[in-house]
Amino acid sequence: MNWSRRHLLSIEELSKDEIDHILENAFSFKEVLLRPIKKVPALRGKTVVNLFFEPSTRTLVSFSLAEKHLSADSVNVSASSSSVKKGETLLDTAKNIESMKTDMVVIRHSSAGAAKFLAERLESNVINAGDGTHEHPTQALLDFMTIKETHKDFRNLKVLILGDILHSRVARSLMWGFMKYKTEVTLCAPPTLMPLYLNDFNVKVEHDIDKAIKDKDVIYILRMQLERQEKGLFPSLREYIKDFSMTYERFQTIRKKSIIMHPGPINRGVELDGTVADSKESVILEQVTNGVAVRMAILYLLNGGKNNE
Amino acid sequence: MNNISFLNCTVVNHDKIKKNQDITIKNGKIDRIQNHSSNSKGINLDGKCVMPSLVDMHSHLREPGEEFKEDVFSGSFAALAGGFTSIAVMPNTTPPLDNPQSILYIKKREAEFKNIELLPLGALTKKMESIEITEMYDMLRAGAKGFSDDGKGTSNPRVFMNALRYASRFDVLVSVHCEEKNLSEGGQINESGVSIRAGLPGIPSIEEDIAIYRNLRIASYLNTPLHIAHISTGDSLNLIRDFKKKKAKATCEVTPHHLLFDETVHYDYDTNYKMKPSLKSKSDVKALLNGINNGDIDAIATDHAPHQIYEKEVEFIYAPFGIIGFETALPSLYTHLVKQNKTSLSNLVKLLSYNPAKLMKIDERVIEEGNEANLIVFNPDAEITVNRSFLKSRSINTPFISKKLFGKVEMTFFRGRKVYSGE
Amino acid sequence: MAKDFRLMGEKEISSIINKMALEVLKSKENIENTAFIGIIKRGDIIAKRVAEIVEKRENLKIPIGKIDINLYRDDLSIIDYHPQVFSTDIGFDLNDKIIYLFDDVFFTGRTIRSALNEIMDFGRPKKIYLYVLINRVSAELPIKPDFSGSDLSIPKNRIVNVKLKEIDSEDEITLVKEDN
Repeated sequence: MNWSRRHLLSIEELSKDEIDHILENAFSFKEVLLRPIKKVPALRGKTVVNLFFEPSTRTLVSFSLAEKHLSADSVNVSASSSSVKKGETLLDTAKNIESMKTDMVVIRHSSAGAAKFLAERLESNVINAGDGTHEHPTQALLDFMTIKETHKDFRNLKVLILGDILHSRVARSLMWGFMKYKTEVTLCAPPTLMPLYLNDFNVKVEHDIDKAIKDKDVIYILRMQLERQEKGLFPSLREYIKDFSMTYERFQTIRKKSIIMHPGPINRGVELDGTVADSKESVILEQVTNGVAVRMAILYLLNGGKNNE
Repeated sequence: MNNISFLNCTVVNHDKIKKNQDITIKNGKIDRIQNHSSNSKGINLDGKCVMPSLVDMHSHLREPGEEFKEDVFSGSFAALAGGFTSIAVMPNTTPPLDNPQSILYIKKREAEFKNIELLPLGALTKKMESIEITEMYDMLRAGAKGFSDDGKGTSNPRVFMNALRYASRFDVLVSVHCEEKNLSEGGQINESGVSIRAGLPGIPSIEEDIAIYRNLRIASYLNTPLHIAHISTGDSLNLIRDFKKKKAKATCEVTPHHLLFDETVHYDYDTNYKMKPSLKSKSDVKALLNGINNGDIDAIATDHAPHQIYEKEVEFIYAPFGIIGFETALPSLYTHLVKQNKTSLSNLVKLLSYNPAKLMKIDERVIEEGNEANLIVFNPDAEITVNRSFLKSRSINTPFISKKLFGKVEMTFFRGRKVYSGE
Repeated sequence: MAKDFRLMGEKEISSIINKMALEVLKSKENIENTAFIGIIKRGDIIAKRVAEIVEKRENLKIPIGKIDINLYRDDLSIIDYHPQVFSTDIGFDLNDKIIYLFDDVFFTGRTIRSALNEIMDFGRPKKIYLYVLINRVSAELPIKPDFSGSDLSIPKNRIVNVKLKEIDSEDEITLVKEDN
């Protein structure tokens, strides 16, 4: 296929073929990571700005490595989005950086729509590295890549997403992607951390974790944000762990060949038991490796995307 | 004062439309209306509409305090360009209009501008903090035309009850912004499949009818009139209808944007659709449209809320709520409702002029001999482009920006004087 | 599109493969220190076919690798769409090896330049030979094949289309006029 997109803003906007195309390329880029010299000249002379308005060591390192492996020059800009009212606006920041002749912008921001906002106003290719509770497309793509390594056929797959669905951009991106593959997706969370309106998503909801984990091929555990307790969305960590944590006892009841996934960083002992995270069923570190490959593929494809505006 | 005659015009009143009329204005009044005669002298309007000038029950002129967004002069000019010659000015300025001196200041600015009637609404409570009630009597003497804690909504029910009771003897409008803040806080747009998909924090729509119920229950308990500002849901409308059936003295208004847009616009994250109350579902829009046609809704008010581009052109969650509305109210409603046969031009006159004038207790807005010559010449066939030069407001935060609309306010007359010319 | 002109069929192609194998065997290089690398998508197939013959004759295993040169192209910033990338697979240490590099058609030399750069990123071979089915003799760089099955001077706007059984269901080389 001819890849014509200039920006990666969401999984929702991608077709199944486009997702497949990214993944096929990503598997080739994974090979580059195994070479003695992990560097190819594909983006030589291109400049990438990693504009991070939310702290995220993992995603930032992953993008930086992907950029370096492709021979792009990259700079990291960490800014606090809360200072936006007093200081420079996002638009000013981005336009100023672009005036220094950059080619691509990777943006992580706490506001939904921030990546789209920049894509509509900049010449550069824009990659959404997470916007508010909207989407986190590169995370979902690396997750799909990781699942493909053990389960080729997404259509007959049973996936469970467990945890704070309501505030999770990862969950939204995963749901959009799985819907395109007609994968059976079940969500499990306390009702207060579950969206009230799921009409746009073809998913099942199960509030009982012990029932939910039984027959799944993929168990995807989301990170629990401790701030939610203060907002009155769940009573205590103690109860959450009893009620919704993937404990070692629960782990022993899951299907053979099931895989355990987590977008990181893990709160060990909260949403996921440490032993389970380190078990052979866990593909969490594989997700991290694949993250670099997927991001290389995206940088490579977007930079070649034809400008048809 | 000069006489003016319009020949061959279509007179649009709230209850009827009469074609081929000649109108003479004399000493600030409508002197004569008669069938068109080719012998008469005057300006031939070739069938264009003459209708009462509009009355806005809900606007924010930002003065004093935020003149970088709007002031009395720029806001008034924008109002005249939209065909409004009387506008209610909400008290949530900085400082708020919560004392006689601030009302006098607005009246002084009105006198400086000369060409418009400002109807200041004083705050119900001091600093709009919902603790102590304001000096309402003295504010009315200074020129206030009613009361409201707009934007805040008098959170304490006991204080609201006292304020309403205290105001009851003045027989003036009390308008209330209904929002249960404990439910709406932290939200950006209506909670629904759209907010989930867009990843924006949702506001449950029940926050509005819960607040309306509280306020109307207090008003009906006291048997005093109460005006509900900018309703946005079918549930709110049903609730108000029920109160009206039980003989409560309830009235309500809706904004043009809640009649014309639904929440699905938010997939584009355009901050010119970010407002309070939030845009609701397609079925809510339908219910509101029904409401303006069956009389359940008493008025259309703009909720003109200017914000500078640099405030609005930011990430969605950081943008302020609100859009401007003076200049686009009539053309947008004409284009999307009248031209689509969803309502009549007479009904728009009723909701934008006749009814609000009655509610504000000002001059009767009917094109009739003897009435004040507060009127506009409206050309329904002219096309306008909403852009910087079309908009007279200091701010241009409108979802209609760069869009084309039908219907142009070609002239605005205030007390017999031409105060705006759209040519 | 104009009618395709058939340049070679199965017989001619197989004869070239044989000649390539003979040429490798004839050379004075140490065959035990030899490895083949084919350029994806058809050079790797040619490498495999040649290797089969050589391995039978010499009764040994020749290490075979394949490379995708797309990431090393010099026109990535000019072309409209970035092509799909396939996995390079060099499963052996190529330091001090004699490398035979295979491709289907030699045209401008730019693909070979990319391939050479990529190979160098994997190690330092002792020597590299270039073997191709067809040489269009219109190199734009100072590079030329050490062996070609046929030298053909063909106008630039025409495409030499190579099909090989393993992926195209038949062995055939045709001359196609570009559709424009």
